[in-house]
Amino acid sequence: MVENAGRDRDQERVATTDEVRGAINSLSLADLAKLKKFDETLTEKIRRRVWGVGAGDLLQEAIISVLEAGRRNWKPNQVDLMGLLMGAMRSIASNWSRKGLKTEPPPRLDSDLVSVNEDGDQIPTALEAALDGRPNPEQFLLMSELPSEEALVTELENLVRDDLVASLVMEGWKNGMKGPEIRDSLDLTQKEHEAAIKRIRRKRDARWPKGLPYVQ
Amino acid sequence: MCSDRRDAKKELDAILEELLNSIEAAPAEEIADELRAVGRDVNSMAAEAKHSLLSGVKRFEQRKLQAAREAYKSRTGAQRKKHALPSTPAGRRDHLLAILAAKPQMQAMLTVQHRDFESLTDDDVKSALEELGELGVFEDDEGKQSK
Repeated sequence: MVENAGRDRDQERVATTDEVRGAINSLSLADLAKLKKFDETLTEKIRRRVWGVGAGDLLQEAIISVLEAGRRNWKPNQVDLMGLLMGAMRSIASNWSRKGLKTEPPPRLDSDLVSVNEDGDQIPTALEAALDGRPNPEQFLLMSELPSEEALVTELENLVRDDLVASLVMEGWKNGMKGPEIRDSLDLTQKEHEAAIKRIRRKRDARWPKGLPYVQ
Repeated sequence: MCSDRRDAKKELDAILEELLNSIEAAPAEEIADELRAVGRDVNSMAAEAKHSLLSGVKRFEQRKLQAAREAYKSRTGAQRKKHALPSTPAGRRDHLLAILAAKPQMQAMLTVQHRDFESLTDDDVKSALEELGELGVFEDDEGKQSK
């Protein structure tokens, strides 16, 4: 009984900072590369909406959330660190996407509020320009060279155009279908479905080895 | 036109979400092999991920230390007597070792770079003592001595 209570306590125990650091150091090369790839793909997903998100930001914030009391503590004997980190990254990304911001924009100073040109017309301050979501002429020119979301979706579709199963799986995704629904409607086995997804992933990585391009 | 744009946004989100699901579900070795196959440097990707994670741990520790300092400062007020440290490096090193021998739990209050005592430089010893001073360790002793 006492032994069971001890074991339960050990199961419930939350990891210390040193234990978390030790667990990071014992992740394999492949585990770390997988986390990096997950971070890159999630960043590609949210950067269209989130101001200032960069490579590694989600990973860094995820480990902080694991360490901060009361957020999502890691119980080493119960939860796999990789799964916990990927779940934390998704949740942080969703939170940032909802707010549209990674961090709060800088506070406005009184001196920033009114600016006029020689004719007395109000002009945007540097801070206003920085906070203004609309592109300036230079950014507009650069953005016009980026593909639109439609063009990127079309290009993704074209990657698997000659692969009937993979193209139907992607069509299902675009229509909001999930794994079991896609398998049922296409009469695929789990193995066939996974193989099709792997082909989509590989085609995408071969086309954009360093990640998807930014879109307009 | 506008509704097409909204659909494309949703479709791109859905495709990326399913790609994320597939990365999460795939064995790490499989993802690493795929990355190698498209010419990515898996070693440097792994190093970058590790750096991000360890930087997060460091940021957490710095925030925790900062919070402890601020809590202590707000408890004791701005006018605090500064603890006088021994004037020589050897004296300061002996002082730190004596404190830690008497109160081993103080080791946990020091930041990680100060816990490897063998390799501490004179500057490290001084900053470790200052760190303990910031956390009010000496004042507890001085308070007892003055009673």
